[in-house]
Amino acid sequence: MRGDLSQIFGAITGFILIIVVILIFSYITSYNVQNFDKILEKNYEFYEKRSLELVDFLNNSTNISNPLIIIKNIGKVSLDPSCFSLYIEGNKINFTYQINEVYHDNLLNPSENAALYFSYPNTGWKKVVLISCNGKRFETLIYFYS
Amino acid sequence: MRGFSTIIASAILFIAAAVAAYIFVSGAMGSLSNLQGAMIEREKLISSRLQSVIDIDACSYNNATNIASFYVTNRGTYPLNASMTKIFINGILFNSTIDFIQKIYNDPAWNRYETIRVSVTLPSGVYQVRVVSSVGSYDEKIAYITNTSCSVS
Repeated sequence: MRGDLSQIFGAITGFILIIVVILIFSYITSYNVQNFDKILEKNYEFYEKRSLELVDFLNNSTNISNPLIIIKNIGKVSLDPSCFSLYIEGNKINFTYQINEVYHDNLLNPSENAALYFSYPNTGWKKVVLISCNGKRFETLIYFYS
Repeated sequence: MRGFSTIIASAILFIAAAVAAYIFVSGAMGSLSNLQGAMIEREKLISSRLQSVIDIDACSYNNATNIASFYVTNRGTYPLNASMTKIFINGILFNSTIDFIQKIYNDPAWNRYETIRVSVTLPSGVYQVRVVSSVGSYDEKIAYITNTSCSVS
């Protein structure tokens, strides 16, 4: 009788201990996994959008007195030129822009054109790099003439 | 009497088992809460790294001074400490000077869409360039430096 009771108490205690430990471990791991899930989902959306961006350069020459670059959104997502980066021969160039809007939302939507206006005093063939808000690179060569 | 002693023995055994369980769980809880603390800190580090995206946009080269400048933009949502940015050329850590080319917000942090310039002294050639941010996110490009130009791809 005493042996039976001891065995029962021992079994109950061991069972409770195992359950408690399992609960603690599952709490710790689920707390961290939930946070990572949200971040990974945002990262996936970021890279998915980046892969759908595509821009075409419509002019391959421009006058240095009023230089401009005309681009067309030929991708599948809207672009926001306000956070574009423009580099000419490796130098970051400030610019203003005007979108030839079909749909009036201040975004460069698919099939819409935009003109980028800036200052650049040097002539000749120059390497132009345009980088979107999500970091997608578009490169071309443009001839600056006087 | 024998039945009574059996009950007492069982009660003692039960109490001993309960005390042993309590000691074990309280000791384990201490270790587990430390473990959870360490995991929370690790999770914060990994989260900041996952939310951070930097891009080496372009480079320029001054042939007279042999200084190559790499323009790096923060395109993630996590503000960074620009002064802790490191640059590796062909796997070797180089001394560099860092300054802001484009600031949007009036604060010392390297915020989203802001661009820094990381400058190093290099002769012309082809180099593997890796820029690593303060939280460990990085971008890596090949830099082609000639006497007259610098390109990254």
